[in-house]
Amino acid sequence: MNNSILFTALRFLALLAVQVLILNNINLFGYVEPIIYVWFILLLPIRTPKWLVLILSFLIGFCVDIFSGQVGFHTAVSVFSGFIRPIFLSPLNANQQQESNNIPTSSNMGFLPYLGYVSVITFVHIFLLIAIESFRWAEILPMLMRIILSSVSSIFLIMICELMFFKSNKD
Amino acid sequence: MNNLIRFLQKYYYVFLFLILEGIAIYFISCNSYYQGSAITNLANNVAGYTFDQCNKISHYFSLASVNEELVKENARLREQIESSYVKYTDRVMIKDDTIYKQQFAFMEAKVISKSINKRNNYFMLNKGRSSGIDKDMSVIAQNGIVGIVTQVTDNFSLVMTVLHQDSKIAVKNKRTQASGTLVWEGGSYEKGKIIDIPSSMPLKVGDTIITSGFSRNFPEGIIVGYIEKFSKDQGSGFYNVDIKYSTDYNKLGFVYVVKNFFKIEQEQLEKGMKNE
Repeated sequence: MNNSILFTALRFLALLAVQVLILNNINLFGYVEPIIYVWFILLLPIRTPKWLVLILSFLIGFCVDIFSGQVGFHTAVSVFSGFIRPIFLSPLNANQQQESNNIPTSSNMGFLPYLGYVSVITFVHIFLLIAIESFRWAEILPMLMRIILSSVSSIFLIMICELMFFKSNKD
Repeated sequence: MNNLIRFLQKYYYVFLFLILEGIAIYFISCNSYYQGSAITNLANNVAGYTFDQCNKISHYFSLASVNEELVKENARLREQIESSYVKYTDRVMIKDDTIYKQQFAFMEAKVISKSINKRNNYFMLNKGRSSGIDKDMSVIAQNGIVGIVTQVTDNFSLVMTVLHQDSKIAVKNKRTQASGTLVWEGGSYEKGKIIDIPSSMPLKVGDTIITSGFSRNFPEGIIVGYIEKFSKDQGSGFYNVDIKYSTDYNKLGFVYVVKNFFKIEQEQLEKGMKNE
């Protein structure tokens, strides 16, 4: 159990640093805003109590906000992502064989279900983030393009990291 | 009563969700209505400190290009000093000091964090109130405009760049003096848009766009960019003008914050105008 807390804390710091120091400075074609800190919310152990998920989502959103100049947007969206997370994990949770410390990965969910889980939450997260931050009817097309390109690149990034860090455990 | 407790036990996380979401929305409202509130101040201080530390390291990687830019600017300034002009006459020109009154002062500052890929982009500078920077001051770079200071703490300040949906800056065509408004519609950080130039005025691709001085923060005549293409909007009678910024915001490391000595005076006049 202690191990699990330690790993969660490490992931928190690592993903926060990558997001703030590297990804926030990346510029591709002016439309892409890659977001990886949402992976922290996705990777919390399956049995984490719902209230803890919400609090941790709030914390990571707030920390990202601090470095983005405008406080509140990432916090609000992260809390929402933390809120909808259990909906996608409940089939897994019902499966009693799971150990309590297990985190959702492609090896214990299956690759396609995991891809779906990551894609849906990341897309919702980025959609809300961009829509809340800069919604204007006149700019609806560029906004949709931003949302799609950012989501695709973020999902791609998360899946690559997943394959890099968790694939070896399976073999 | 038991039912109520059971209800709360079952749905407690929905209430927690609503409470946390409420706090977040309160933060967002702090941003837009009460600039410089405690929470944004705290955020700016923490972020400023962290970026400052990181910048001390990453700064070294860009030293070469920063140096090159400084050398270029030095050369340009050297061209302007007296000794580089040939004197054609021995007559002495008397410059009466009282006719000139300094309106603008420039303070140099370092950019410690920036974003250019979002819809609304901000830069953070390593100087704040203790160096004399105040809200609403304009920020320019060596060869172009950058934006307007929106938040200041004691040691750091936050600049709303021209790459922002609320940024509207009065500009004009250097050749014809036709004035318009500079806005940014997202997308590439290299290109901006000018609206409100009446289509009766002649335009040419490559025309230089400068600040008009009507936005009272910016001194007149600071270069903004060059016209890349334009088209007439039949309905409104105005041009749609695309420009390329003269500054590369991606590479920007040092900027100048502009202090307008007459700002309060100008604001008082404007206030009088509104009251009538």
